Amino acid sequence: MRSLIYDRYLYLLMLPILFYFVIFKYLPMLGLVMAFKDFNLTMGIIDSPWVGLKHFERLFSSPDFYQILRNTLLLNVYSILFYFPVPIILSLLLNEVKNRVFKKTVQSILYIPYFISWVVLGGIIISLLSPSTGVVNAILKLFHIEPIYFMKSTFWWPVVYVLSSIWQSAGWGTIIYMAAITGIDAEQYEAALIDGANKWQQVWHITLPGIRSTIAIMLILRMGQMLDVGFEQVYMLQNDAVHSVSEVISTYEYRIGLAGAQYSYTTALGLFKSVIGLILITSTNKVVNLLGEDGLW
Amino acid sequence: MHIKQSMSERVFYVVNYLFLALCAVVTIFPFINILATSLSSGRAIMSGEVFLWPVEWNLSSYRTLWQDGQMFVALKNSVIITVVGTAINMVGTIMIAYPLSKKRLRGRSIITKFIVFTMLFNGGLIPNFILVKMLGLMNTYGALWFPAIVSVYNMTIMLNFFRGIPDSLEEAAQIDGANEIYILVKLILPLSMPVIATLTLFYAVGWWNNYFNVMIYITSSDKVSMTVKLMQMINTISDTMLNSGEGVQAQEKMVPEGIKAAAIVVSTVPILCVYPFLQKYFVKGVMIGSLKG
Amino acid sequence: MKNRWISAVVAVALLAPMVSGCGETDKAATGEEAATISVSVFDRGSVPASEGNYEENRWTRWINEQTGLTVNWVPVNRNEAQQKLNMLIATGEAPDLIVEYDQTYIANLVNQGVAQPLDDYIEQYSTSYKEYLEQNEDLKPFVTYNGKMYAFTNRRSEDSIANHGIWIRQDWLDNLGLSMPTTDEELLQVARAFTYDDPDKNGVDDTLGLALMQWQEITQAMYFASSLWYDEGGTLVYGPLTDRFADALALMKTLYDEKLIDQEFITDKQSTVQKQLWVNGKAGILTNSWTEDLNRELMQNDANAKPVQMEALTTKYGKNGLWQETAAQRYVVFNSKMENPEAGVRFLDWMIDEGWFTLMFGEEGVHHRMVDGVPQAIDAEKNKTELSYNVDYAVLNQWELKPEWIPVMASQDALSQELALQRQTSLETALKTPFRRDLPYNPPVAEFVRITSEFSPKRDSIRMNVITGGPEKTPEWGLAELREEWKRLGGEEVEKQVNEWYQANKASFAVE
Repeated sequence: MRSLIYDRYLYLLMLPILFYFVIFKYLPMLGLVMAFKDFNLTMGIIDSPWVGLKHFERLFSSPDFYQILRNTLLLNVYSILFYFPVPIILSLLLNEVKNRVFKKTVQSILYIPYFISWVVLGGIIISLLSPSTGVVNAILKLFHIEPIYFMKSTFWWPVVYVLSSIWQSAGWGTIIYMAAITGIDAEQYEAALIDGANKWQQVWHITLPGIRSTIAIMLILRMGQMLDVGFEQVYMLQNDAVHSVSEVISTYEYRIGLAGAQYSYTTALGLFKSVIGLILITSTNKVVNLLGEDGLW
Repeated sequence: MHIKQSMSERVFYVVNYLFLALCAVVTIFPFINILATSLSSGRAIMSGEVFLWPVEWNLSSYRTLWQDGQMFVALKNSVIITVVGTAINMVGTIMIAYPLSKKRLRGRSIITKFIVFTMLFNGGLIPNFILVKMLGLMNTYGALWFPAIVSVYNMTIMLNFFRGIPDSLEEAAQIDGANEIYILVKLILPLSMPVIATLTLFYAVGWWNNYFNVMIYITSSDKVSMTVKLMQMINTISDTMLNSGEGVQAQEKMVPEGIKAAAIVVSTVPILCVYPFLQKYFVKGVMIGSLKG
Repeated sequence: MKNRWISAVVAVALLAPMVSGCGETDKAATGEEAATISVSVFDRGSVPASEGNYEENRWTRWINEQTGLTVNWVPVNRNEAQQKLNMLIATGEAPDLIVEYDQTYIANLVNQGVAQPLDDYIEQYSTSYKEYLEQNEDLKPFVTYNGKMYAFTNRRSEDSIANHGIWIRQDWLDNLGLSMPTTDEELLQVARAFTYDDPDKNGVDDTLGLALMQWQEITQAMYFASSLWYDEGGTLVYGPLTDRFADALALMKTLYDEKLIDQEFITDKQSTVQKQLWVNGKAGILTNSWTEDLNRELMQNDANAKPVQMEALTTKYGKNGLWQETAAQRYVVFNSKMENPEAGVRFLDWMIDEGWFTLMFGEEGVHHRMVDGVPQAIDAEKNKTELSYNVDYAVLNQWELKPEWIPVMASQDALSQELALQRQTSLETALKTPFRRDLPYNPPVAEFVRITSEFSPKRDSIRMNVITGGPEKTPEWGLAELREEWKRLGGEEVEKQVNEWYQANKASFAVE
């Protein structure tokens, strides 16, 4: 009780925002009952008939659901393994740049592709990777390597997917780590210099530990998105030859959308995604806690 | 203080500069390509002659975009939506993130879970629409702002940053008799400029690119944002139209690639300019040390 | 504890109106006051700032003046129209009259009980539309569900019935002394000659037979294997599962194997390379649409280029036109919650009778003048401001463009006239051969809707496998795979349901 009074200003500060979460986030969640009903536009959420687990049965009995789920998870695993570290490394490199003008310019350029739609980026990627006219294959040719049709290959397609993510958003991803790095106490570096620590040791013993909690948070948040794959990116990069590796939940949702208002079914699918996301976030947070970091809670 | 660089460090610096410069070249390439396209003639674009430099220079694509007075109105709307929206977000995010960053706060863990839950579960389109309608927010910017006061993702980032600020600072101030609000405004926030700048950028970009909600909630065409306006102009053939049998008519209005490129330039340049402006706040963090002493 | 209480109360308060969908209370037509109706209108963002907005502008005012009604226009953004309309319906805010082009969507509204049957209203209140319908009996099947009419519609103008087109370089044919292909076999021969016999006479082997856009629909249509249901001896069969689909695959496979087309067309998602091939004069045949914008760039690049549209090709199954839209253009349904159907009918009667013409072409003497019974623009600049957004208000119309009107309506300068004449010929060619369509709309069977979202990616990837997969992946193999996939996804059940629906509704599709 004592602490409640002691921290009353903190609670007061929070209260309006908690109220916001109740009204704008929890209240609409009542609509999730749609997943267990056959939602009808005229009847509304409450009057639409209950159908139990019908929509979930359809989802789990759909012959292609597991392939789609597997593709989604795989692309995300690749992305965590190969994309996730890139912004961290990039920001460490940027941090070593002494020339202010160079640093600012490079930073401002690196994040530009993030603002350009995948329609454009996709077109550029496809032409760069063309086996007959693309730059990449022209370079391979110099090394006497047979041209590779990257976009049509089910082996190369996920590679292209991950590399294109890096190209598009790694620069944007550095912003948060750059902010974290500036939060590190400069005294520590001075102390290290006096101790005669070299660059590597400084990065390893000061910079990385300094942004460790940010990395942990970003990882936890990322794990919550394991069933999300940006629709536009996949859609613009995929083609009929690579459906077996490129059909993911978001493209599936798109196709359902084209077939008309199946709100109950899409709600069921969304609920499934939420539950998986919750499990992944909670368990990652647990692991992070065990490793001695704060995590989300 | 300056210590002589070792040989390997010097090699590292050179390689690092070269590598980053290469990255910059690779990432600026698509933008240059779009810029060149937007300034070229339709014929040159179709024939695949445009790469990094405009062919048959002309400004007609831009002129088409700005032809009717609406684009100015839409630009103004976008600025309002973005500036006010971001301001609301920052206040809201600080209000929740700061208390939750205090480890001693009772109920902290459960409240955080309560909030993170909303990041994963949401009611979906229809319930949200119903709520906005009930609250009488239809066709007002409130319909955009109020349902999105705090992004849990961004809140988490801020929370994490606040946790990194040493408690000793706050304790010192408390001994001086300052209350929590005073400490937050006078002490914590000035120290948090890097994360504030970061989140301002994140939120602002989100608002600037907001498309779907504007389309769903804003009905008056003189209130819509620039993104929506540009999408309307360049997206004359969407999938829904092709499937609906309107396609043939729409095809005749096929929008030249040059105009699409100009639309991308027009919509991205304003927001691209925000970051360089915020960059100066990314060096303020060093103050922590001096304050502590 | 207290918090939970409050949220429960708020929850109930907020949910209550969801139950009923809480209809708005329009003032019924009482006495002197003008009756009010609300109508959806597509917002394409094209109302100039000086004209107002979609809710209020010179044309909405004009409509109110002319009809004596108060028409409230509800703008729905074109790109997300169905989403927005669904939201409005779910909150009971939907307009009285809902306008859409998409028949699948209309079928959905009928299914969900949003639309109401109209036969009685038309009988009771209508004169002009009733008459129009009597003269256009063939439109009825498109709006008939379970034996009742659920939508108002009007005849589609010819220029939007025609859709795809195959273009060929007449000058290349002349150079090689070839004649215009009339069958699929001759098409292949010409494509071979275009690829290997240096049709542009530049001494370099740098040409291809075809540039491909919209090729899926075009090849499917050639062999009567579009993604539609065909009545084969009284039973409905889905196009991609017929033997004919294998022939469409075989044609593409030959084109690919003999390198008569771009070998990377699969990944040319935005047709960038295909467009370049045509525009730069590197391909002699182009599959795309009948209104070919690319021809302008082609002719700019090569003054000698003479692109002409090919007539429908004969295959072993006969001659089918390329994809054509149905005769019904736009659909207007009455919201089942609407208060004043009489006013709605009165509005549509006025629209189909006289309103549409002014809404499409402006006022005579101001925006257009009549030449040979065809409206011709007076001042293109003025119309750009005042007439750029008005067509969406003409929810029903009797506009039926004839190909020969195109030159009259176009600008009168020489270049525009030349292009207009080309367009006229092209439209005539596109419409010359009818397109086989056995049903007015795809069966509104839920299972079919479900299966298409899963079957279409399979169809596409099997097709690709056949075309590019070399000798083992024969068209027959592809067809067997398709049928297998269809079965695996539960296609047999779908066929059963579709045919049950067909037997029950067949009679109502027949035109008396």
